[in-house]
Amino acid sequence: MRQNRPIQSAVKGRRLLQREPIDATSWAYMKMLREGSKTKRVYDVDPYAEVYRFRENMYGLLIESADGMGDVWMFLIIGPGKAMLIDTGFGIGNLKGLVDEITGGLPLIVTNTHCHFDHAYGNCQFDRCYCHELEVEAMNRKQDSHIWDYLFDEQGNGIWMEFDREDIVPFKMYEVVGVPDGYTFDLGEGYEVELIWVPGHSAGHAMYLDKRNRNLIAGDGIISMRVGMSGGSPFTTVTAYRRELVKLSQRVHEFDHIFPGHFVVDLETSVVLSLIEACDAIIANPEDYDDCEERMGREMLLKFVKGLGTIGYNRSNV
Amino acid sequence: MKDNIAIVSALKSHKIKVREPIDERCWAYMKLMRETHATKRMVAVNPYAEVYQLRDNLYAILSEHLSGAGDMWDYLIIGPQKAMLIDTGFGVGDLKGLVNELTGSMPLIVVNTHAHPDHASGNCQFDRVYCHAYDVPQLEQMRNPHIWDVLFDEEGKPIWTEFDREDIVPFHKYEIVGCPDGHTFDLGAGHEIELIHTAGHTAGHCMFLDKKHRLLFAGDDVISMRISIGAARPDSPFGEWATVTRYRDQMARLAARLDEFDYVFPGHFVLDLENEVILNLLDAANAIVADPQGFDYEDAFETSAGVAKRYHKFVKGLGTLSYNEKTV
Repeated sequence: MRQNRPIQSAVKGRRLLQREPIDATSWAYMKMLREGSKTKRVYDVDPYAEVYRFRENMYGLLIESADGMGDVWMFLIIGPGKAMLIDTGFGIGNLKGLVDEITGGLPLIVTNTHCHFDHAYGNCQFDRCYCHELEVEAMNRKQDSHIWDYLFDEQGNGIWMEFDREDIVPFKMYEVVGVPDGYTFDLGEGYEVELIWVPGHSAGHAMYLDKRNRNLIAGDGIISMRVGMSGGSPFTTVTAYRRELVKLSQRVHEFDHIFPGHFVVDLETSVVLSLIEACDAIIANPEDYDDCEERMGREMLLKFVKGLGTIGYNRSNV
Repeated sequence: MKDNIAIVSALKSHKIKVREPIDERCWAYMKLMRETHATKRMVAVNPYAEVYQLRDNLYAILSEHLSGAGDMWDYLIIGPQKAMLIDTGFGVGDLKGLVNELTGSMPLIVVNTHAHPDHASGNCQFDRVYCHAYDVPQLEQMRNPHIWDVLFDEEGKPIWTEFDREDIVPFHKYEIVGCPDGHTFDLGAGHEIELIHTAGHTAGHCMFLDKKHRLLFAGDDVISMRISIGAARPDSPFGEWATVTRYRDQMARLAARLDEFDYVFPGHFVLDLENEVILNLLDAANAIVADPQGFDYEDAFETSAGVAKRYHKFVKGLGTLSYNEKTV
């Protein structure tokens, strides 16, 4: 399979294999960002992460995917009294140390958009992580020291990324706290961040609205390449996704920019309307897809989203 | 219509209004690049241009569109003995002075990807400009001092983008040299740039292949938002080349040469795209030719002749190809 051309970066870990090429526009964006942005910084404490300062008090932490998928964003918001880390990546490298260094050791609230490998395996570096209440069970199922085993072949070598196994911060149990849709976190002096439930990619997938910066941290619910419906639950369908996107679209006056969990960030809010339009078209006629790919042995249907990318679904999760 | 969120910039031009919002991915790219790219600079001689150094010997020059469409890239390649400027923008601000400052006044070859005002109005700052032979008639029509008149209203105020009329470098007649497909320019010491006729957007639209650095300068035939097929003048003598069918044929030829270049640099928005976009464009163009009515959506846009209908076919990983019944 075609692989993207390497992007120059000084991060530790070396990409060996991609499961699929990243689309041209998203990859060009990452190349320009990672090779050209003057805000980029890599800290000694965690050489796996690139740190970008997107706002005065908001950072994007980028790590390369350890399992052959798209590279992953975590976001750090520094409030007046507390900081909030949204997502924790793969847990390779000292994320906690990095966050403490950036915040100067502020008290920290750790949250997740969803439970997947690439967004939540660093949770165990912290004592407590918040997520939407529908994500708790899946999150707890992954409280296990073997979660990283799939990254290695029988000889113990990384399959998708070459990295030092010693850099996995050892597993420890942590507390998972489920909260309802609309739950608001206070970072001090009335600096509010609201959890907004937008399922589809996972049952309890959440976005986080930074009300002061007017930013929506969107996880894998909005992606410039492909938003995938996972299936297996009444909430991981195009219909459930669309229902909450419509509610979100009624709140677009509350935010200006969207920061997804992969690829292009700082997107304008009109993408929410384009996503709804694509969902409507899928629901009206699931067979009218624009493209079809085989992914992990299963057929995935793709519907284009104007100005963004695609929605991936199949006939069982419309 | 929703406006894009303003990008912070020190350019002397300021947008008043636009014809359409730029799509979200493209705008996010431009925002990030223009607000944070480490190499961005402005040169005092031309306050209408932002300069980015993207390779050791490659500069991208961004200036704002002056009639409501997407901002344009001109590219400057510095060869061993000569430099090449690809496209010349609107001709507001001293592009020649800027280029001379970047090259240290090397001998310069000026070329156009196509004969549209946003890419060729600065031609008259130079003595000679090369383009593909099929765009010569269109370029000749543009070779006059009135090309900027449409940017102003009856009171002489700019309509779309605020700028100082005094900053239009006065028109001077220049030589147009039409070239055939495959014409090669030599920047010295064997650094060759090949003109590749790609048609589609205009009859004589062409790309420039920097063989030494394996880069393809694609003009408006590769754009991350929308590639408009058939934007030639209706009376263009080679109008049948400004069609999806001809574009498809040329993309098929280019797809057979993917081993000659790695990255693609379009005339607008996202640049440094991997060469696979040519395959995606070929797929989309093939689908249109096979079934012109199988477009993904349609919209309408204003032209000088009234409102026109336009079909859009999505291009994987990129944007759309737009066309109508007459330009298939």
